[in-house]
Amino acid sequence: MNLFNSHTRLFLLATTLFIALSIVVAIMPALYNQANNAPLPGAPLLEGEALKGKEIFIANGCVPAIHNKCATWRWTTYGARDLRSLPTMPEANACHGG
Amino acid sequence: MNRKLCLLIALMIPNAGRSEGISLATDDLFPGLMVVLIALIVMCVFILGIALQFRNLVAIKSERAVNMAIVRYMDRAVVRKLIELRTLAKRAGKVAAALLITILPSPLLAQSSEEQSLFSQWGIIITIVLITIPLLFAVVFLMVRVKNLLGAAKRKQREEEASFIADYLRKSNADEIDNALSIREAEFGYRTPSLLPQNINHSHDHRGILHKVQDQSLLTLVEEKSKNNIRKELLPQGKLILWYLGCAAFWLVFGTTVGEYLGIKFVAPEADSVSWLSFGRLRPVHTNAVFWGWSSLAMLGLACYVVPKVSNTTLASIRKGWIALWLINSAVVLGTLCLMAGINNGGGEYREYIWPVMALFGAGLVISLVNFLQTIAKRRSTEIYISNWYIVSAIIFTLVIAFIAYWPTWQDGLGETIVQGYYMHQGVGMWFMLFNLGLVYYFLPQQVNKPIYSYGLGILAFWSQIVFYTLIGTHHFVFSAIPWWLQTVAIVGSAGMLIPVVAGTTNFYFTFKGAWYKMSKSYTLPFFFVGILFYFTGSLQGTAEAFRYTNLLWHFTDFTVAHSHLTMYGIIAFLLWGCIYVLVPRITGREPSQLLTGIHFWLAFIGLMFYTIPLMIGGTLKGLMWMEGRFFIESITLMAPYWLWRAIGGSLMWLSHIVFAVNFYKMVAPSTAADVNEIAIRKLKESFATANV
Repeated sequence: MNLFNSHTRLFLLATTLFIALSIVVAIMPALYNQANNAPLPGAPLLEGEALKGKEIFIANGCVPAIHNKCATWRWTTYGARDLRSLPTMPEANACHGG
Repeated sequence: MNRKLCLLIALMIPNAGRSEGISLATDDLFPGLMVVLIALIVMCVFILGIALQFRNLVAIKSERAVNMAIVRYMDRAVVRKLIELRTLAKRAGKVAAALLITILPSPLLAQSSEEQSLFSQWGIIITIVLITIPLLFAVVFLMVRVKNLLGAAKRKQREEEASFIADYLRKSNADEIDNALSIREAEFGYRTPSLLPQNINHSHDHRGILHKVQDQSLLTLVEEKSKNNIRKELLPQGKLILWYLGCAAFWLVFGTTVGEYLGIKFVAPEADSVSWLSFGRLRPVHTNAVFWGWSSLAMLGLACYVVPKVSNTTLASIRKGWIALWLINSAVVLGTLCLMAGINNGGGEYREYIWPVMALFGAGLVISLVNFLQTIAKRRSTEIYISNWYIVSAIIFTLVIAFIAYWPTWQDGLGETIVQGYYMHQGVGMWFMLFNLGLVYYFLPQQVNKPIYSYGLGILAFWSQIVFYTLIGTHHFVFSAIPWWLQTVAIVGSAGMLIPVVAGTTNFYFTFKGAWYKMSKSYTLPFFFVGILFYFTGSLQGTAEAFRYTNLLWHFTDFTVAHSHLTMYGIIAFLLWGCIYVLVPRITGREPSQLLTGIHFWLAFIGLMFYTIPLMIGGTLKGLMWMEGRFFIESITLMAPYWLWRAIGGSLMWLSHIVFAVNFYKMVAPSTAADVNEIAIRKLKESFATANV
């Protein structure tokens, strides 16, 4: 096959495929998630010192979804079995207080 | 009957694939479906096997004849049991159903009971099976070795007996013995004329192909492996490659020394109170040093050999190679200093280096990419060998990944989670794994001295790896604040990884086919064998970890640490060692010590097992504790003994790296001992000269 005997075509094809998939699974969802998120319904709103503290947390790159114990909180509050009964994620976008 | 069975399994498996027994229409259906698919394939093979086995029987005309033929295959006890069963069945009519339920234990029962057993989760079952595979291999290997050793000891004992008899016969000068012997000899009488030369004791190897003739059997501690049959190659880029590999070996020892210290800190947290040596700073120093220092430099160094070799040409530019080496080394040095000083990129795992530092690494990659592309462009073969597909794509993809990971636009907030998941998993899958597969496609066939089993499987694995691996990043953040569909896509992609992994493993092990005997005679092939074994078990463990239940259980626990070591160490490091032990002797003409290489291999393998298995067990218990809502500190207390085992395993691994460094030095350092033959000839010449005067 000609395609695979030409290094320009072969690597262009592989790169295009990879970049296209990357845009779909990483860049676009990331942009979407940044624009669309809200605190969980019923979550306590942070004020004053607590809010400042959280901002320091975020400024240091402690990614909200990983280290704010969001997941742990969900487990301990609702338990493993009831996770599915929570609102689905895109609407709730759980713990990111924004 | 078969249709009934299939139906039964199809009903049973989706329940098992999901963490809870609720309706089939949830997103969790996908892992379940994958399991059903595999189960169906297994069923089909099973049914096919039975069909083939009984085809002859079915050919018999009457039903009665078939029955008789089947019954004839059973022994007496089975027949009796069957008769009992049938009488019971006639009485109750429900025995068959009851039997089925006892045969299929947990999944069906799990639906009815409130509390689910941990071992009814398919993710857990798959992982346990995968962990036992390398252990079983080691146990079988050990048993074979012990058996051989016992056999050898027995042989030696018999030889001693024989020499005793010989001595006795020689010393006792009795006529009876001579008489008896001569009579016995006469009895044997006639001999068929022999085709062998009569004077076999004085034979001579005229072609000089026998290197070592052993005239007495020895009981040695380790078997001597065959020489690597080195043909020293005069490579223009030889020195460059050695420097790449030497720097890699340095970063391995440095990075794992840091890792060893971190392991000790788990056992003795108060070991020091220097900010530069604090756990939070040293941990990324360890991971980044072994990623960008050890593995990456070793890979690029090996590629400087493989890329031109399979293109049947020379490396386009040696100077570019040196520049890339300098850039990457300076990135790791500066990155390490920055991290220890507390200057880092925050929570981005594996991208803790700040962007100016990582830009140096990126520049090194760009220069390497240009160099390799130029080399491939002037290749003297029409096709591009599959190794170069993997290697060049790995470099391109890594540049794309690093750009996406460091560009701030799409990660100013929550988007960072998605980018992080994408980046760190592509980093291991598209950089280390893809690159190493490319290297194995050259080194493994070369070492086995056979062509790769299937070129087509390699191509299938290449494209399916791109399609599935790119999708799986977010499986690290299942149940977190990212879109549910993206999490599901990641889980499906993780299941899809079965295709490239099985294709790759099959391809490599089938390349071994017919050449397995070389395993015990080579000191490089065991490294490849173990690397491929962990490629299979480690990758599929990743798939099992991606299921929703297993994520809930294992994520954030030490299980993840065990998994990353199983893959980055079990796959990548073992394959790289195999490649280095093949290549360096070809450049320098000197082989490593076989004993030390063996020690390196076993320390690394056993150390890895001691490291990972306790962490997996402890991690599972920890996850269960969290799910029960127990206090966090309890899970820390729980982990203490498992962390001790991790430190022990880590120490063994670290020792193996010291041994590797010694081996590398032995392969590279110029021999200081004078050549005896050279001196002898010189002396002879001198003596002739004086005689002539």
